[in-house]
Formats: sequence, structure tokens, C-alpha cells
Amino acid sequence: MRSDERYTILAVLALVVIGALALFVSGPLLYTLEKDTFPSRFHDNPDVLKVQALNSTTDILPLMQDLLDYTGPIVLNIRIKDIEEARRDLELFAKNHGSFDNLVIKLDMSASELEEFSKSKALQQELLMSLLNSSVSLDTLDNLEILYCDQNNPNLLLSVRYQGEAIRKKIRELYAQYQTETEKVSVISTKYGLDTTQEQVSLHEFEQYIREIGATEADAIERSPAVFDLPIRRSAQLSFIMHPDTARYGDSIECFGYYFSLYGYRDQGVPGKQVTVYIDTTPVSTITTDEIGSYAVEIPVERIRAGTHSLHAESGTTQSDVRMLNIVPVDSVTSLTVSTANSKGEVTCTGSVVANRPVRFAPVELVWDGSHASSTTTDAKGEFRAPLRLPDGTHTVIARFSDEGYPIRPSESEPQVVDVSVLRTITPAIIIADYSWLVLLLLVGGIFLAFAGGAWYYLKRMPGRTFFGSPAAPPPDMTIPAGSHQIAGTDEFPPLDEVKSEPTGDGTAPESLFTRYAHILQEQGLSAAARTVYLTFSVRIAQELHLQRYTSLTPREVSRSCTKKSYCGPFSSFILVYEQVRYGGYRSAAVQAEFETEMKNTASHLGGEDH
Amino acid sequence: MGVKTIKAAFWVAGIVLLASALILTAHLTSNTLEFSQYNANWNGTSRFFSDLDRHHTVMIRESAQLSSYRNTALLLIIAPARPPTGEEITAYQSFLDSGNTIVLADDFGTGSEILQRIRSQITILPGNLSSIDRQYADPYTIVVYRTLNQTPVENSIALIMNRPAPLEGGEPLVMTSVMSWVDANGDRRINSGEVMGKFAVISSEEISRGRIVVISDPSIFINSMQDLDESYDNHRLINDLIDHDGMVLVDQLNSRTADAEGMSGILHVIRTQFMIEVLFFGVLVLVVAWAWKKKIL
Repeated sequence: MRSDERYTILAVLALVVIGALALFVSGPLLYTLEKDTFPSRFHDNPDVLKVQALNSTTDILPLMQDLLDYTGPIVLNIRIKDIEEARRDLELFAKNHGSFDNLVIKLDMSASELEEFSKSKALQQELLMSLLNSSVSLDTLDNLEILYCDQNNPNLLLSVRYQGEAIRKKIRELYAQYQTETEKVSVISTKYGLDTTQEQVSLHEFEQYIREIGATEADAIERSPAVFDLPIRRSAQLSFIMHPDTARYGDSIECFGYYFSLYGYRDQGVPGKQVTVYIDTTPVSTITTDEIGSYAVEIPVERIRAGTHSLHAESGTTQSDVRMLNIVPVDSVTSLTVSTANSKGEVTCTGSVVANRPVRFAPVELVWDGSHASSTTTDAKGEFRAPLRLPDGTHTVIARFSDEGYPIRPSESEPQVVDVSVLRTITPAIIIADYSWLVLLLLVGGIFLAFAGGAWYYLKRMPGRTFFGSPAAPPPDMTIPAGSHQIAGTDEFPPLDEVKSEPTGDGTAPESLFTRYAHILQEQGLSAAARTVYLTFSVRIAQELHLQRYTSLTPREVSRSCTKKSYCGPFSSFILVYEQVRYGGYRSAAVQAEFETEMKNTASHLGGEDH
Repeated sequence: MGVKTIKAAFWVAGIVLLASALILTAHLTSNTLEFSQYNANWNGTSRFFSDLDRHHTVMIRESAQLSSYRNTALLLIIAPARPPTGEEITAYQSFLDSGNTIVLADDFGTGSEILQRIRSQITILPGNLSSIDRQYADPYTIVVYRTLNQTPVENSIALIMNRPAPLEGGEPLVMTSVMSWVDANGDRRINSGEVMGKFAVISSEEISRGRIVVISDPSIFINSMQDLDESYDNHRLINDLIDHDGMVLVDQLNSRTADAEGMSGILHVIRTQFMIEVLFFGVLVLVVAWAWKKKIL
């Protein structure tokens, strides 16, 4: 095979290796854990699975048991009118249910009995919250009923009574739904061996409560006058009651009333009438009267100025009496967290605004360094999240809530200091992260250049080697220019005029070699002189026989390479003595004499071959 | 280049060659076959087999080997791959008749067929058992609990199993928690129709004078299951199995643990076939002699 072909193959192989390495640049390990995740129908590899220890007995069943144990006390507290305790328990119930719900989602159990349990518990929670609110409303109505009865205000008394009846009906409906959900919860819980005693207690208390509010209703009817003394008006009348009359942000104002007309001397509710409730002069809700002519609506206190407001209801040209509502301002707390800056100087500001409860859809101003601002808005949970792009340097960021439209006092967060200059310093990690494709390209290019450079250097240092495609020429170190005193590529080579110069016919070449031998012998000793002679012969022989890379061959290998020439035999004998001198350390006169004999003999044959 | 440099280069080259040969040997003699005892990767059983006590363990490569054991021997059949032959079934039945114990570990192989043909009441049902009780973020890698304190689970209270199958019949020794289900459609989540409940994963049954214990997950023997959290008793269970009072026999007739391929297959044949082993060593001696004469060595 020609050397060009060999080098071509070598170059192709080198390129293949570079290509193979390039494939593994992003993950240089041949046996990574990730590579060990090949699918198996028998098992998964635990070494690559994320640890997530979970024990149903300690992590899930206790949570379910807690959820079961809340309901009994909540209903009992509602029944005995300990509203604050019931509200606290309901909040805990909601919080625990949220945790359980998250767990169900995390475990991907959305089609399981756990999800059914969670849904039923969510419904129970909603029903109990409705029961609590209805219970509060019912108590308020009972008080109003007594008040209006004493005031002998038949219009309002009638409205209160109808509203009370509607609420009692609603509570009975709540009970029916609660019974259904409790049954579902109990079946699932029993399967998992959980104690459902409190669920049964809650049902029992609920039932008792319904009996009690039924008895209250009967008492009210009994103590109210049998005949109302209604003022005779020609037009229809619209009653309007609201409670409470003082509220804060996040409270609900319950508004209800009764739309009726007089038919003869008897009043009669008018169903299907549209009633609009106004705060000051702004309509806030529209509702239709039910089959007995009553209506009810809850108005949340959110974006309304603090102070006194007038409320009334209208239906067509019929207008109710005006009631006054006092909105009390509350303090707020604004929180802020600022993330570390990314390579572009962007930070993420997260926080919340809370006043009594989360402030929903409220404007928040993000102010940095006191002079720059950007705006964002809270979500339905009262939380905000907004990106902020900052220039290099250290900055102070605050979040500020201030809106007079809300019955909430302004607040601002603690200042947050963020240093962008340090994080924006160009580090190798950032460069790698941002310009990974460029790094990859440079890496592959670098490897390629390194290999190419190595190959070029290797080819360059090859004796007598030219690059691909150039015409065949003798190796550079074999070319011995006339008059030169050094053989190219070697520092130790002796002047060559003795052997390279054209024979003169008078035998000066051998004498020249001997002269040089004698000179080095005298100055450096036999070993160095012998080496000079060997190198002189080997250059000549390599040139004659076209031996490539002869400098990497040992004397014996050069000797073995020398065949079919008359000087090969003497050269072989010369090498034997040469090895004794150089490697065996023989320096005796006999050995020197033998060496000189073989040297002359070889030189003589080399000269003879030349001619 | 001096003589010393040449000698140093020779030694360096020799060491590099030797290391390369060792790495190459390790590479070629291993494989990636499921459950193979020659597989040193995560899904092989090389660690389990290397831990076996050679004086106490016998590899069963012929059915006839089973006939010599009476009363106390324990035969481990791990991950059978093919339907059993009549000869094997007869050998298993005789083994049980002699008062010995068979421990069959299988989930999706032919274990059910073996059980049926030796007239066991235990059945390995299809489907991946999944559970909320787990050690990893994977519903198939489940935690199971002892329900009956009997051999071989007398020291194992909680175990991790890797894709077990549900068992039916027999006396359940280890079961899942109540929050477990069979993932019939293999989507790794519970769907409507997949009901939660307790499932047996290790069951036992008396047959004739012997006893069979079925473990519905052979993966407890694989390498990556040997370094689990110490709070689980997998290591104790395996120790209890291999430290059995009588002889421990490991079935190599019908088990994926005997699978081999490539160089490991060749070495396996050399090691298990006596005549081939003799021939191999004979050839090796000739090669050494030639190398000696040529002064290679």
C-alpha cells in the first residue's frame, strides 16, 4: 500500500474518531445512569428513580381521618351558635382539604376513590360554609323579626318572614345534599378502616338543628300578629333589608326583600320581577323575585370607598326605602420577594397584598431605586408575580399598594436589595448556558484542529515525507547538498563530504571519514567516534536502499534491512562490533582495532558499490 | 533513545496492554440480558450469585440432580422463561414429595404454568401492581408489608418490590397496603375500573410433603435492588433465603438467570461443559508452549 493511501486512511479514521467524540460532547460518559433507563417489562431501575417515600398508613390515612373528624364539631358549633369556633374549624378543614387535594393530584390519583373522597369532602365543606352563613342570616332575621314586630312594621316583618322561610328551606336542602355526601365519604372511609364517628355525629347534629329552626319558625308565627295592618297604597311595594350595616373589606352584605302588590285588602307577592340593588347610585346586582315575590342577594365588599354609603333596591318605577351602610377601612400588608437576576438582568418580583383577607385584582406598584416604577395586579388569590428588568448595579425594590377606591389603607413592602452587576458578569457558566451551540462548535473545531495539527506535525517530521499529491521525492534528510556540513534533520550528523561527495577517483572519501573518525576519537572517545561512523554509513545505506524513517531504526534493524548489496555483509559485521563499543562498553585496543578494520572494510564496499 | 527508556516504555506498554485486556475481558464477559447472572448491570443478578455460599449452594442444570435431596433443601426458581417440560415438572413434584421447599419468583414469565402443572392453588395474575406506598416516584416500585410471620419472611416486615404481579390463592405472607391497585392498562395511574385494595405478593402453600413459596417479583434479586434503603428488609429476605438450613439449589434449567450471550456465553459453555473445559485448557497449554519457544513470554 502506498504511503499516500495509508495517510488517507489514517486521516479518515481520525475524522471518524472526531465525529464519534462529537456525538458524546454533551454527555461524555459512555455508561451514564440515564443510558441505563432502557425500557424493561420486568422492572424499573431504582438507581435512576427519584426518591419519594410515601406510606399510606402514616402519610395519607391520618390526613383522611383528620378530614373526617372536623365535620362533627363544626355542625355542633353551628347548632349551639358558636359561630367563631365553627368558622375556625371550617378554615382548618379547608386547609387540610387543600393539602389532601394536592396530594391526590401529586400522586396522579384523579380517577381513584381518593379523588371521590376529596370531592365529597369539598362539597361537605361548601355545604357547611353555606350552613354557617345561613345560620348567621337566620339569627339576624330572627332579631329583625322581633324588632319589626315590636315596631308594628308589617311590610318589613313580612319581608323578614319570607326571607327566613327561604333560608330554612335552603338549610333543609343543604341537609339533603350533606346526607348524600356524608354517605359517600363513610363508605370509602370504612373501606380503608377509618373511624367515621364524627361524620355520623355531624349528620345527627344537622338533623337536630333543622328540628330546632323549625320550632323557632313555629314560635315566630305564633307570637306575630294574626292580621297585618298594611297601609293601603295603589302601587306595588318593594321592601329592602340588609345586614350587617357595618362591614370591612372582604365581608359580604346580605340584601333581601319582598316585592308585593295589594289585591283588594290582601297583599300578594309578585314573582318574576327584576330587582336591582344600588350602592349610592351605582347598580351592583340584579336579581329576579322567586315564586313568592322575595329576593336575596349577597354583595361582597371589595372595591368600594371607606365611609357611609346608601343602598336601596328598585324594580321598574318601584323603589325601596334607603338603608345606610358604613364601610370601615382596614390596614393592609404588602409582601415582596425578588429573585436573583438572570444573565439579562431580569428579576422576578412575587408577593401578595392582604387586608383582613387577600386583596383580589388590586393594583400594585413595583418601585426600584425610588424613582422608577412599573405596575402589576394581584390575582384571585391576592398574589402578584411580575418580571422587572434592571440595569447593572445594586438596586432597592419595593412593592406598594395604594388605591383609594378600596376600603384599605396603603401599605408597602420591606425594601429588597438586588445586586445585578455581580450576576451579570460574564462567567464561563453563563457563556456555556447562553451560547451552548457556539461552545459545542468551538469544542468540535478545537478537537479537529488539534488532530489536524498533530497530523501535520507528524507528517512534517517524517523523513523524506511530502504532503499528499506532490511528486515522489527523496526524503529531506536523505538529500545531502554538496558542500553541506550537516545532514538535514539531525544535529549530530557529521559533515558528509566524506561520503556524499562524488568519488574523486583518488580515494579521498574513505580517508576523509577516517580523518573525522580520528578527530572525534581524540576529542570524545571511541563511542562517539563509532557513532559518527555508524551515522555516516546508515545515511548512505538508507539513501541507497530508500529506507524511510531509518532514524527510528536500531543499528541492527538497519543491518537487517540491508540485503542484496555487497556492502551488507561487511556492514553487518561492522554493526556487531559497533554494538559492542556503544552498548557493551568495550573500549579495549583490540576492540578498537577490530572496529577500525570493519569500518574500513565497510567503507571500502560502500565506495565500491557506488561505482 | 537509551536502553533504560526503552525498558520503561516496554513496562508502560505492558501495563497498558494488561489493563486494556482486563477491561476488555470484563466488558466481553458481561451482558445486558434481563436477570442474567453474567450481567453486572442494574438489571442483572451477578451480585446475588456472587453472594451465594459455594459450599451451601448447588446449581441445578439437570432435572435428575433434584432427586437426591430430602426434607430440607430449598430450590430457587427465578424468572422462568419457557414453559416447563414434563421431566422438569416430574422432578419438581418429586422434590416436593420429598419434603423440600420450592421458592418460585416470577411475575410475567411462565411461573403460573409451573404452578398449575404442579397442582398449586396459587396463581400469578397478569397486571402491574401499583401502590401509593412507595419509595420512589414510581407507582410500580411499591412497598409491601408482612401479614403472616412465616418462613422465609420471619425477618422481613416491609419490602420494596419492583413491578410485582398480584397473586391469588395460597396463604398470603406479604401483601400490599389497601391503597394499591392493579394497573390493567399499564398507564402507571389509576383509572376508573381499577379498584384499590390489598393484594398478595408473597404466598405459600403446602403441597404433598413439601411447601411452595411464590414471590411475585423476581426483580428483588437484581443488582439495583441490592442497595436499597436499610429501613426495608429486602436484604434480610434474600439472606434468609440463601442462609436456608438445608442446601440451597438454584434452578438453571429454566431461568433467565442462566442466560448468556457473546463471550460470556462462550465462557459459560467452557465452564459448564467438562470436556470442552479440558480441551480449552489443552489448547491453552499448547499456546503457552509456542509462545515460550518463540520467546514471546
